[in-house]
Amino acid sequence: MPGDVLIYIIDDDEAVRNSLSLLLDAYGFMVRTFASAQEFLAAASSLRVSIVISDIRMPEMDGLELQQRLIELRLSFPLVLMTGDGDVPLAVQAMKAGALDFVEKPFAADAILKVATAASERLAERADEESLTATVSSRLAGLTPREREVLEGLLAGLPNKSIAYDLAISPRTVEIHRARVMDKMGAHSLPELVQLSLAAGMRPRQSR
Amino acid sequence: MIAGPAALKLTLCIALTYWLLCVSAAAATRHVVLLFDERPELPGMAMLEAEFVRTLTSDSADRIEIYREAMDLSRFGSDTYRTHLRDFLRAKYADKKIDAAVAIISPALDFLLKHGDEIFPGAQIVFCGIDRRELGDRLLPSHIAGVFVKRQFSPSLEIALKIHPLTEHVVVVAGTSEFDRRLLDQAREELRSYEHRLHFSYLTSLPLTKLLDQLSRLPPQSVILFTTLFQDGAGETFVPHDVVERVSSIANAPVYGFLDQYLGRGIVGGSLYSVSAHGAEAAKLVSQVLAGTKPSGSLVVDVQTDLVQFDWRQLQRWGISKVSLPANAEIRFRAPNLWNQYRWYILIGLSALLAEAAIIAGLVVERYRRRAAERLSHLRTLEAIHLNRSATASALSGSVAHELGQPLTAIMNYAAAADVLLSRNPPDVPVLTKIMKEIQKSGGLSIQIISHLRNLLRRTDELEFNEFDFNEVVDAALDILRPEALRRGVPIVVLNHGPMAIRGNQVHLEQVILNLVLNAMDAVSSCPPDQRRVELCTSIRNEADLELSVLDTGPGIAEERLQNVFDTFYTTKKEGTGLGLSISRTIIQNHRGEIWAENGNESGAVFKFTLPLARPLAVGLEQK
Repeated sequence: MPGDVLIYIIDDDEAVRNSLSLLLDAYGFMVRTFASAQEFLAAASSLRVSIVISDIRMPEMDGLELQQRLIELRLSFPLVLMTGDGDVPLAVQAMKAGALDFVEKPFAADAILKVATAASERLAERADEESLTATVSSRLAGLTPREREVLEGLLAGLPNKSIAYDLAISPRTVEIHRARVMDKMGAHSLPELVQLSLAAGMRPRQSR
Repeated sequence: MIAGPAALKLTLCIALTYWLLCVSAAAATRHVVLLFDERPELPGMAMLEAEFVRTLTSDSADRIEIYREAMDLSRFGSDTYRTHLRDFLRAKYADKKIDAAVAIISPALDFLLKHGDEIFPGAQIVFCGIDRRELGDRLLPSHIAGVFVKRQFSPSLEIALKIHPLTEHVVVVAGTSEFDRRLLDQAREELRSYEHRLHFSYLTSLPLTKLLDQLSRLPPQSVILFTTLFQDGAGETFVPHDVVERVSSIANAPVYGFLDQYLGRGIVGGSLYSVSAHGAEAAKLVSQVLAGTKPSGSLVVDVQTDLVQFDWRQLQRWGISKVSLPANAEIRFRAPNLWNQYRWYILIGLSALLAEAAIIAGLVVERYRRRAAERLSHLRTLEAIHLNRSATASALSGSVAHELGQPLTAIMNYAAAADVLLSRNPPDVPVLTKIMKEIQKSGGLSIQIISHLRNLLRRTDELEFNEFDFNEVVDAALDILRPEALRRGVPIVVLNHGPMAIRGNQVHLEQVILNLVLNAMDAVSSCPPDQRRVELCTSIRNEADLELSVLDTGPGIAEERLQNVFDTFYTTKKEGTGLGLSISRTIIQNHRGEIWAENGNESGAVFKFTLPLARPLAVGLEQK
């Protein structure tokens, strides 16, 4: 939601830059403008990851190139592209490459606002996702090897008995490990455990 | 070898045959003697004789031998002469068997009647040229054959009176010779019946000069009748038709006559007696007599040989229209009018004139058509330029639309921002003021862009020339091109000379630059992005011309095509019109410049054109 949502505006046309900045500011977004893609890239590594609204047609480096560079640099700024006449195919291309959205110029104010709002929501979601992932990953890291194995078996949907057999330990031991895993991972049910694990990037072990 | 007795017989046979032939030939020849009283060389006599001889020889199957004797009894009337003449003739024709003796005119007949038996024994006497009235009461011997002359005077007068109804005076001209007198008497008799209504004067005893003088001073409403004049009042002898000529030429009244010989010599016309026809009739009669066939009825015949004839020249002279002439009139001596005489010259002249006129007409039509074609071609050129311009405009439409999008976007954003800001309390006036200003700025920019587009699409109906700095045109073109160059990712490098004044049409020259640069951008579109470049450079050549060159880093043009690229409809682009370069060439040529293509030093093509400067730059000004 607006407030502390930051939007970066990249456009070589001063009037567009300034007017958009003014508008978004009036709606409560924080805005930072750049006159060229290069200018943005130069500062990108030190910037808080947030929404980028960029023109496609720009001298020297255009919007698509910017997208490529960001992907290369693994800078995952969500990208919204502003397209002029005849640029829709380019926009589609950009979308396939992972852009968030595009808006055709000239646009009415609420069009860009809608996009900006959706983008910021999306951003928030992602942030949540990411933080969750980070948390779960660290929790995963705290599992002992044995506990990890057990988790893998649980993810595979195996009953305790099978896990015990596979690991050559007693079912009772499996149960104990399971409880500890649940505890460490912070899951309150098996489905939640599975969800968390998958979110953390774990994959079910294939049955031997 | 033929034997003696046989040879003799043969010779005798041959001789006999020959003798028979001669005799028969001799027996078949007819001998005719013509006895003239009057001089045979007189035209009348000559005509009569000519016709007589012609008719006689053509009519007759036999051979005719004709003899002539000019007795001239009229002029030589003494008895001594007659006696000697008789003897002379008798001696002359002693050995000749004459078949027919033809007496021409009364004196000759009288002579023949008197001495004919002596001179021409056994000959048939035929007369001609004699008027019945001359004989008076005398009876002709019954064995005489002849053709009478039927001279009439009143028909001619009738005709004259019909033509000149207001006639009051009739002047009759006659001579003093016997012949003249005889004719005059005959005339008087015929004319007597007219005397009660017309005034007649008979001029007969005047010397010719006096006569002519009188005839030149006749009172108005006069008509002249010419009979014959062999001898005038002074005793001088003349040939009548010469007299007619002289009379006619000085007379102040029209002259009518009786003889066909006089027609052409000055008489207007009349009911004319033909002497030659008379000769023919006489000959016919002689033929019949010689052949032994008697004419039905008597041996003496009257044959009417009058013809109504007129002289066209006299008709013109006296202003007589054809309408007043009798129905059966024949008009002779029509002057060969200009048409007849110079017919061929006239025709050739006319056809030459017509041909000339036709050529001139043809040339005028040609010129008119050419003017129309020129006008049409001028119109077509303007149309084509406009077409090219429209094509350029639509090629640039993408970038124009994008360009317009920018200020419009800005305006929308500003307005929406202002909307929000206005709802705050208190409103931030400075910011709002700035917003309004920015809106106006963007609005102004949109207007500029639209007017660029309008200029691009504007139709110039005239090839107006005015003076301006060429750089203005270059700048205007670049303004339009930059967004497109941006869109395509082709940088345009510009090297500008200082001010260059030229005379021309700004819109069209801008068109040329647009064409060249768009072509250059198309050329580099296949190149990798970092190798695309278009360079535009202006410079001065020879101090009198400016040169603009457009260089691209594309694939260049094949050597043999460097000329062809300017051809109409030549294009290598899939959606090209093929008009851009040909239109550009037309425009440059209209501006008295030159345009051509080269291949650059590195890869790529260079298109250059030159234009004459309006004012040659002074020496010393260098390129910036």
